[in-house]
Amino acid sequence: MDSKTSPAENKSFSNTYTLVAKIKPGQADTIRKVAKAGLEGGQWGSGSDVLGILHYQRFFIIEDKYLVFTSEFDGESDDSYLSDFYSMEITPGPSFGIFNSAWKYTEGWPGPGDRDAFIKFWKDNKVEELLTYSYYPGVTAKDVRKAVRLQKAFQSVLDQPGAAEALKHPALKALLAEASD
Amino acid sequence: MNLELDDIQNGALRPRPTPYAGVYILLRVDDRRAGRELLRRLLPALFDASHPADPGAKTWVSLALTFQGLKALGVPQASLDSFPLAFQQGMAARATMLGDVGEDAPECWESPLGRPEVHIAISAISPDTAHLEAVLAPAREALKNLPGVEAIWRQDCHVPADLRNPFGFRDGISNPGIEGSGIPGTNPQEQPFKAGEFFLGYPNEVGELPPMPAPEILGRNGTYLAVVKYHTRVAAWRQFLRANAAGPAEEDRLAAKMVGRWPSGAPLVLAPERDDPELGADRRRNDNFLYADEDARGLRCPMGSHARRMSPRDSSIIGVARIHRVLRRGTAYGPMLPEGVLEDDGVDRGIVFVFVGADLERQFEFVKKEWVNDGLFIGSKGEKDPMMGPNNGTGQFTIPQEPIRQRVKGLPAFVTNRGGEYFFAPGLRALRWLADLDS
Repeated sequence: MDSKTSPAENKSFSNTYTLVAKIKPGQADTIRKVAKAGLEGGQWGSGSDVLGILHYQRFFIIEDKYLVFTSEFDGESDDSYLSDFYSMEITPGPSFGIFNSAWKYTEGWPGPGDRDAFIKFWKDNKVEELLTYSYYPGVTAKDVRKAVRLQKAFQSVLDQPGAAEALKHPALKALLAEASD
Repeated sequence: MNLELDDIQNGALRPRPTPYAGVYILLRVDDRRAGRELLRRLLPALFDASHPADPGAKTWVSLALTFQGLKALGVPQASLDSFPLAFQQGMAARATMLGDVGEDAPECWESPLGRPEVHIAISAISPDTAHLEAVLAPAREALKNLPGVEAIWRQDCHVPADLRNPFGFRDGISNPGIEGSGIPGTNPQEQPFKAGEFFLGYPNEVGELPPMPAPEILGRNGTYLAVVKYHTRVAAWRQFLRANAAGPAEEDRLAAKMVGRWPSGAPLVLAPERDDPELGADRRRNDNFLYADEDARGLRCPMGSHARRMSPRDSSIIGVARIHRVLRRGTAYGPMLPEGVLEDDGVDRGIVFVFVGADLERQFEFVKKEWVNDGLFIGSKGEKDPMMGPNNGTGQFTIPQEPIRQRVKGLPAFVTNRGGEYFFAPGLRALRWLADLDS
């Protein structure tokens, strides 16, 4: 841990959301099949990605008893976008279909069609995090995407003839400093 | 599904006539029977929404109640408990979450705003002051000889003939269409919204029949109002433009970029280079646009401009814009700061906003927290609404432009929250039910 930065500065701007739901007896393998199909079908992520604030979503099965879902997303008010999430997925949204396909094998899952029941399930099964440490705090998913695009653009600039000459311009000093590796 | 127009309060549904003179009055109910008697006396003055073009309707009167007001009238506890949490708590209790801190905090609010003695709000609007007084006179009569109800606040307001707000911009242009209301929206390219977004008892955009306060007769056809009084720091606004632009034309351009429209109301998307007063005044055209095709990157209308934040339309944002649409009514108060004056004259002037919606959390509160107080939803974390946001002298506003975007820094707050509250605007049957309470 960098001794110069305080714990507060290292607190991640993003939030982690973890849900733990009890799997209905004998259904763990069903969930495994659903996950495999979702991955192979290429649908996973394409819907919820539209939300734009997600860093990752992960599912785990523990001891064939518990389905754990954890995601990391941007923003400090973690419940603000629940309605949006529900709304985007309930109409032909591929991801909720996938959430529903996995969660319907857990106890208490209300299914699609009832927003309040969905939010209750979400909050009832939420697990509060003990600790998160971010090694690049304050970076949003959008920042990441922009940074990747910028990096690609910058690297292709470096490959252009005349790049070295252009980077000598005083305004481009900060870019020149990044050019050597 | 058709709205029960004959039960919805006219003032809640219909766009206001412009220009108009108006007044807001807040009342405290000390005796429940007196409160109910007041409702009985005022009911005949309340028009329902099925008489839009009634030439006799020279004045519109609306009535709404706070949670404390419902309590003061003696509404049964089980019914009180059925109201949503935000409404029960009231705006002041939720101020921190809403970003109303520092100068905007309830401790600084104009009394009695935000206090539990605010029970009933009456608003009356009229094409001119003479008609307004004509309606207020019987209202004053109704209040006389009614000890047990006290008027505790009054705010005169108006929309001037040129429809300009205190910053000099034509305001209140955009309104959503509401299914089953017979009222089209101002933007023909925007699909009308499910009635349940704005009135209780109907399906909403999230695809369901949302919970209503109980009993049904109380909840049905009602709606919630978020009322906020904003003092506008017009001199500071003009000083900022002067300091951040080279010359009057640049100042006008910067102001338009911050607002999202020109002073005439012409939207930047349709008039990217200069104001177009004809367009601004043309109701058929001044709201007839979307963003995605013409201006996805905000090169005409910045993503962070006020108008684009308040209604992102089909912009690429985080989340679903449609489930956060608010019906917004705004009126000005106080005299205009004379043109060309950059020094603050110490006069109170500003805007009283009324946001109408069936879900305070998903609509008003969400818009305030996510679209005014921050820019995460447009990928500009930390940037706030340039006109209405709680900037503190370090605010930043990005204007996309080619070849290099312009970034304006050091934005102060241009508005101060003087106070507000959440109200429930019942349907007419509900008002009769309240007047007939017998406990």
